[in-house]
Amino acid sequence: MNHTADYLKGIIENNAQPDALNWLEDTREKLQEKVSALYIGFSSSSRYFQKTPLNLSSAEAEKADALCPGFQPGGWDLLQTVRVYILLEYPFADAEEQCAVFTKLFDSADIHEQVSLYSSLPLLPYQEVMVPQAREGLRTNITTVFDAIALQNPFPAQYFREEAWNQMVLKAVFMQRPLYKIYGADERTNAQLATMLTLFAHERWAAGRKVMPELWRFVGPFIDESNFADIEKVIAEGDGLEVEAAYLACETSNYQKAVQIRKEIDQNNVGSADERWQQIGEQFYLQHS
Amino acid sequence: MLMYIDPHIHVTSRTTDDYEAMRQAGIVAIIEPAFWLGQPRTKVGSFQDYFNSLVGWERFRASQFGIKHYCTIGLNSKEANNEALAEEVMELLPLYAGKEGVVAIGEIGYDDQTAAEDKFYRLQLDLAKEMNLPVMIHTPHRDKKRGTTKSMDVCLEHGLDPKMVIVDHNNEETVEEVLDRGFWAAFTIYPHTKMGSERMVEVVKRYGSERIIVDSAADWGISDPLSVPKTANLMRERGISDEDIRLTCYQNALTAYAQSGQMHESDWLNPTAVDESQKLHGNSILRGGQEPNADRRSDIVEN
Repeated sequence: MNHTADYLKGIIENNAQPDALNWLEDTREKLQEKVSALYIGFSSSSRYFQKTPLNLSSAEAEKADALCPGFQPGGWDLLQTVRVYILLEYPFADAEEQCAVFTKLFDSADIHEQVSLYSSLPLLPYQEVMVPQAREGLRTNITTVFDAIALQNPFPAQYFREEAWNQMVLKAVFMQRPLYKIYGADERTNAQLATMLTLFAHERWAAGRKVMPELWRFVGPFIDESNFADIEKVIAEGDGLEVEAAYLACETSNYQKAVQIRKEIDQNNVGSADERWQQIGEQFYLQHS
Repeated sequence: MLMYIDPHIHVTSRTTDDYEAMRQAGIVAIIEPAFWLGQPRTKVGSFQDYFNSLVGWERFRASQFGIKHYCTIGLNSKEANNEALAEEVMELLPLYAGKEGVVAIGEIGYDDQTAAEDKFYRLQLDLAKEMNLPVMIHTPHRDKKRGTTKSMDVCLEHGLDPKMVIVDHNNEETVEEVLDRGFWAAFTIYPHTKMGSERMVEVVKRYGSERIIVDSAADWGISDPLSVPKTANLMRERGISDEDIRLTCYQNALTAYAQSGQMHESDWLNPTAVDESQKLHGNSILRGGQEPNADRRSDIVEN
C-alpha cells in the first residue's frame, strides 16, 4: 500500500519547491493524528501546488504499472498527485471509516477535487466498497470527472459488474470520449454491450449522424448474422477511419463472413490491434476537437 | 480582441445563449458571488448544494464557452435573518472559502440593516481577515447612503484594509465617500434599480478610473449580462480614454480580486491542460461536434 504513496512522493519531490514540500510533510504528520488534517490538507493543497502536467519518464510509468496493473498517472497533474498522496497517507482503520471520510470529502468537492478522489480509487486500501460511489461519479456530465473514472483507470474493469460496465462504455461513446483509454476494454467485452452499441449506431444513423469508429471494437467479437449488415454498411459508406475500424473489428470475429472479409484485405498493417485502435481513436479525437 | 471581466454576475440564473453572447462580446472571466436565489432557502443542505454548484457545475458550464469562472462564498444579508439557519451556514463557510477559484468572501452586507444582519456580517468579516481574502460588499438598495457608510465603518472596526474590500452597487451619492476612504468602488449597470450606462460614463468622467469597477450583477431579474462590454462601448463613443476603459472594465477587478491568490491573468491567457480539457470535447452542453457561437436566428434547429 504505502509503496504507492512512496512512489507518488518521489514524483512530487521531483516537481515541487522546498516550501511546498515542507508543508506537505507537515500535513502528513498531522493527519496521522486527526482526520481534520486530512480535510484541510486535501482542500488547501491547491495553495501550494499547481495543476502542471507530470511528464513522467517511461521508467516511472512502468513502475506505476508494476505497483498496480493499469495504474497510469501519466495523465495526472501535480496537484492531483499531491491530493491522492495525502489520501494514501491517512491511516484508515477500516472500510467503514474510509467510506465515511470519502463521503465527507465528496460532499464539498470542487471539480478538481472530484477528479483526484476518483483517480485514487484503484490505490485505496478498501476498494470494493467504493463501487457505488464510482457509479455515482459516472452520472456526471463534467468531462474531466467522468474521465477520471472511465479512462486510464483500472478500477471499473476490476470491480464493475456487467451492467455497470456497459453503462460506462455506452456513456463514454455518447460523450465521445477516447475509448482506447478505457482500461481492460477487450477483456470486458460482452454480447449485451455489443447489442447496445449496435442499437446506438442505428439511432445515430436514423438521425443522419455518424458514430465514432472506435465503437466497432466492442462489437467485433460478437459479429453474427444479426449485425453483419452493419459492418458491411460501414465498409461501404464510411470514411477512411470508419472503414479501418470495421475491418479491425472483423479480426476478432469467428463469424464466417467476417473471417472472409478479413482474408480479402491486405495484411500490411503494422502494429498490434491495440496500437491500431489507439491510432484510430487518436485520429478521430484530433478531427473532432 | 478586447478583453473584459464581469466581476459580479449570477450566471446560475442565465442561459447558454447569454454565455455565448458574453464570450462574443469579449468577456474572458467572470466572478459569481454567492447570493440568494429569489426566494429564501429553508435548509442548510440547499446552501451546500448551491456552494457545490458554484465551485463545480457552473464553473464547468462557463468553461464550455471559453469563460473562466470564479466565485465568492458567503451568507447574503437577506438570509442572515433566519438566525438558526444562518448559524448552520456559518459552519459551512470555512469548508468552501479556501477552495480553488474562490476570490472573496461575499456578497455580504446589509439589506434591512437588522441586528441579525449585523451579527453575521461581522462574523464573515472576521473570517475574511483570518483567511486573508478580499471582501465583496453588497450595499443595501434602501437607505443606501447610510448603509454604505456603516458597511465601511464596520470593516475598519474589524481591522480590514480598505484595499481588500470591494464596495458594490454604488451610485452618485455614495461613490465619493467610498473612494475617499480608500475602498474599491464597484458599479452595477442594471436596468431600473441601480446604475444606467450613461450615468456610469459621467461617473468615470468625473472621478476617473482609479479603483472604479463596472459589473452587471445580471441574475434572475430583468438584467443584462452584456452590461460591461456595452458600457465600455458607450464610454468609447463618449470620449473616455482606452486606458480608463481597460481599468474600469477589466484590470481593476483583476487587481482587486487577484489579492486572493486565486485569480491570475494567465488563467485565461495560457490555460493549463486540465482547464483546456474541459472545453469543447464531447460534453453535455455542446453535444457531439456542436460548435459554440452557432447562428441561432435560423428556424432550423441544428442537430
